[in-house]
Amino acid sequence: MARPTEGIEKLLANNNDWASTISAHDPNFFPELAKGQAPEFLWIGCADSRVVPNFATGTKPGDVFCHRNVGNIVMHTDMNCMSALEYSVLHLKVKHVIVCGHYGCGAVNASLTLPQKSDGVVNCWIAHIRDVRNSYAQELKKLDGPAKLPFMCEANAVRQAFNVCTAPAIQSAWASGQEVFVHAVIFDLATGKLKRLAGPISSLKQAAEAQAGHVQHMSDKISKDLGDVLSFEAGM
Amino acid sequence: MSAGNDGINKVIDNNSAWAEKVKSENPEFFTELAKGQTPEFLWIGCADSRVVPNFATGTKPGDVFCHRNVGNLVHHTDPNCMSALEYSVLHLKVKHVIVCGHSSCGAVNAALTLPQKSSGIVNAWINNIREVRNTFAAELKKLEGPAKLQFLVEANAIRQAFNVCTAPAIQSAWASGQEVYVHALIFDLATGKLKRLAGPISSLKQAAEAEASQTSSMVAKISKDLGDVLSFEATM
Repeated sequence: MARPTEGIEKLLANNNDWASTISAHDPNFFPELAKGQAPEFLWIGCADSRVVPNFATGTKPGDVFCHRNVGNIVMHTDMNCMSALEYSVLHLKVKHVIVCGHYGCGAVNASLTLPQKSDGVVNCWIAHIRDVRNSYAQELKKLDGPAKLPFMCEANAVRQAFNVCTAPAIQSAWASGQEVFVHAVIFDLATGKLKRLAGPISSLKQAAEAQAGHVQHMSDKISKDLGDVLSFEAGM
Repeated sequence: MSAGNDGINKVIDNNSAWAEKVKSENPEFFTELAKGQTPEFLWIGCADSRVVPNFATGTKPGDVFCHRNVGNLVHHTDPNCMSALEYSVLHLKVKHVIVCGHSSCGAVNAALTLPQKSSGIVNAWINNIREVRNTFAAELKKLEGPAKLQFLVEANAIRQAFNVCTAPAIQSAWASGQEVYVHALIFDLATGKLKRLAGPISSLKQAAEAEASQTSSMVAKISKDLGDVLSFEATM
């Protein structure tokens, strides 16, 4: 069966080269890795093949605990993402949670263009991005066609970062005095550059006051939502 | 707020250096990347910081669509993973779906050691691995310590690969004659080497007959389950 195995054979050959080269330079590299992990970062990014976190951040195996899904969505009702957040924050005690969106995101584009009646699971999954879209209906109306998508890619990344801030794992970490910072960044496919959108955030109050560069108006809007959460919790 | 910025500033600096280097070696690299993605592979792997798919497989941005979660789990009731599968298989038409487990997996270890009564979401999330554990209770009883963990790590990777085979996206792809192969691999942290466990699989029937080298006993057991599915579907 030559054809079906071709792709895999290539990967395995690459793997052999990579592992051998590293072991030759540093025989302890993998044995040390096998002892455990103490990553500094949790990366929550898009599954898009072009956004490779370790390449884009210049990090090594062991540096970045990584959850990737379609549209870098963070929802408290999603056990998949919440497990990654809980494990990395409360057990591994990562210091930074980075939510990374990217321009030209297919999932974000789908929230702008895919009809509500479409078949399939992806259509349901991106409902979370449609929620963000609806929050910014006014702003989006003022933007021309091509400008809508980058705006939404940024708005989505910032919103998902704030969903991290309100998630039980982070709330619990902050309440117990654990040092963990939340950030929103965006990856520009056309340049390979990462841009900061929001953060470092280490309290709900800060989330409400967060600077966000040229997405200040977005952050203000989301800050209002967080202010609402704060007020409600204060009354509990 | 130096502590919050230190980590992220380092990431941004690394990013800048990487983007500049790539661009100087290949001025068109990113602009081409921005045009679209046609990855050959979907990688479903663990969120563990030490298992970096693009490093381990020697692949570039654009090669591998990537979903990573705690324990590299695939279940049909999880819209997060199912979205990644549906999008990459039915829309991007990847040619290979790789499920990759790894040695010393914390999630698999938890399935062997974490009490059922533990609080938190991770405890609920890993229940799928407990099910695999229970399926192989007899085999596991005969094994001790590291051998027990390694057995379950491999059994889990194979089981999740078979969950991919029975998932709607793959079933639909195969039914329409789309060429897509499913594989189970394992990454050895101590050596950096990838090992094949099962695949290439391109039909449910083949899934039932799949070779899997030294895990043939496991595959035979899982094959029985798939045989049951086949028989039932044949009556529909």
